[in-house]
Amino acid sequence: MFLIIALSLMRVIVSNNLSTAGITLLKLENRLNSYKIENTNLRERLLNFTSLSYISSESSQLGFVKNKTNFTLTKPLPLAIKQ
Amino acid sequence: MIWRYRLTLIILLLTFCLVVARLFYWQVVKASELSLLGQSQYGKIIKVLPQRGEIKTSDNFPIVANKISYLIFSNPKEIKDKNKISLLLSKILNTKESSMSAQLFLDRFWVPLKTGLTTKEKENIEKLSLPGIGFEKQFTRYYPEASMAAHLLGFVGKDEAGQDKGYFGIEGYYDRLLKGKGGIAVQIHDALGRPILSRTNQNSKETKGSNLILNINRSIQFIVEEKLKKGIEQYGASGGLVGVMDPKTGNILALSSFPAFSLLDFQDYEQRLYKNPFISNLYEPGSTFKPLVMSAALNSKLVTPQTKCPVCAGPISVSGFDIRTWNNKYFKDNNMVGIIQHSDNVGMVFVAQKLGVDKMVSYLSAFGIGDLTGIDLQGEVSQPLPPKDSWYPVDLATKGFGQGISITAIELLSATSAIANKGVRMEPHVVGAVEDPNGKISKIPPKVLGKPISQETAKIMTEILVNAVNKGEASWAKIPGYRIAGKTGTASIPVKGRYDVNQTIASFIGFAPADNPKFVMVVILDRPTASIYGAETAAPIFFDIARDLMLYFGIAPSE
Repeated sequence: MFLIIALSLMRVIVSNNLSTAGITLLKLENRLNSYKIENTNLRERLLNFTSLSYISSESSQLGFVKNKTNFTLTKPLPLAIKQ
Repeated sequence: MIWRYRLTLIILLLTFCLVVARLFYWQVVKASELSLLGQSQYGKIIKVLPQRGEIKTSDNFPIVANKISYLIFSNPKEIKDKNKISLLLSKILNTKESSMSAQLFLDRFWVPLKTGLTTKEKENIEKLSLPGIGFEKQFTRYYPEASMAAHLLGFVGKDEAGQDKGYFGIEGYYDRLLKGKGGIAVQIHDALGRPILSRTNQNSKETKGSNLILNINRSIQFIVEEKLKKGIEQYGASGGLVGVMDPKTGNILALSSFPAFSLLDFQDYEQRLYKNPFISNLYEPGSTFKPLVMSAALNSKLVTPQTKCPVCAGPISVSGFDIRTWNNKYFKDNNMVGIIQHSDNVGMVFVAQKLGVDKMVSYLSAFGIGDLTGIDLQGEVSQPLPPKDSWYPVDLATKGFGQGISITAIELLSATSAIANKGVRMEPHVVGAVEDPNGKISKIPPKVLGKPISQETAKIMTEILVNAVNKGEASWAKIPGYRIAGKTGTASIPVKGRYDVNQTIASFIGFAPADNPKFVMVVILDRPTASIYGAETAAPIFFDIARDLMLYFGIAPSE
């Protein structure tokens, strides 16, 4: 008898808590969504900054010039050894 | 008395059966219908928009990504002062007030006003707390490298039902893989409309499209585009194409063509620009075709590199047509090495005649000429080779030096790659792997298409082409220290049944390093005006790109 009353009371408490959990869950979901959106927007900026077209234009603005000479220290191995 | 008890029992049993039957009807027969009815009362169905898969280059950089944008919509029935709101929105959204006003005066519950709003724009409008105005989150395509590889990538437009659909290039070819599956989620709320549970029946992973990882090397693509743009400008061409392929795997490392279109504003460009000329335009290859015919003759043992051409002392007449060399210079007893070096049309007529129609058709087919290469891009075309019985002697002669035959640039690139890859022809492929929404990566293995020539023939042909680079017309542009195999091409453009000698397709095809090729590349310029010859226009672009590629691959000079 005592067990039934205890379980019933527990059910009432749990139901009471759950009935308002939706609002909390919604708030959490909204926060999650806003973080996701922020993440996507930040990723967009990151991709912009790491794109070759951006790096190329920035580097030329900063005065970098292309290395036009090809300097090598080693020669390729002879063909016979290679095969 | 007993009959009364029995009667009561029967009535009770019947009533019980009726209740059970009714319960069965509601809970089993009508279950799904009632469930839907219930959902519509306590829940709101939310459409989960599919997020299209990304397209990444070989360094895992998303060359096509998704960004969040918003659709602004209105419920005109909730708006009282429509004139004021249309004036306000037209200013913020930078649209005409008349069109905004027309939308707001519609007798509907839902009217879309503008798509593609940024998060900031959306927040600015939200601050105004306008009645009857709402937003819907959308995913739109975003291109971090702007319009790089526009023809190759294709674009996303709308189909008849207003849904996103890929057109042209990779977006078109892999549309089914890229587009996600639209899902539905239910938002459950209480009697007052407050949400009880966040969402049910949602499986977001199923809605996302697969990502594609390309064989395209972003650095090579960037180098190629820069050099091609510069070359087109420098030589006054009306357009140009460059394709770079790894001959050992068939992986397409770069593919570029101009004029192109902007991926973001593709609708502002002429529709003819959407087609990728590399796979969709047929052209006469001219002298870049000669290595294929020469390889066929060498492989058939009909000629050797030392075979002398007995007819090369002057023009040759075939069925009443006089065939001359491009510069009207003739080399008596020219051998096969010299024929390719001097790009001798008369010499190639001799080779083609030695080969005959049967062998010519057979070898060209083995090289994939007249057939689709199978490249994974939307819009590839090919012109089948004519049947053997319809080849006239003059057809055989002219096809020997690449005239009177129409192919695509990808056909030529794929066929020449067989010479670079020990006689083995690989299927050209743009996509290297597919990443499903769960992150599982499935690689696409290289595919062998055939072996048109032997390894020995490929080696001999390579040496002939190295000689052509070192001593031929384009030798002035070559890179010192490197062994590069290549061939120039200058093809007159047929206009109204005649060849216009002042309008040409100038080209250069080659591979490097000749002994262990890392890439095979073709450069084609459409109607260059600074010079009509491939050796003076396409060849320098080829070597300019090749120089950077040697540095990029870290290849040391061998000579």
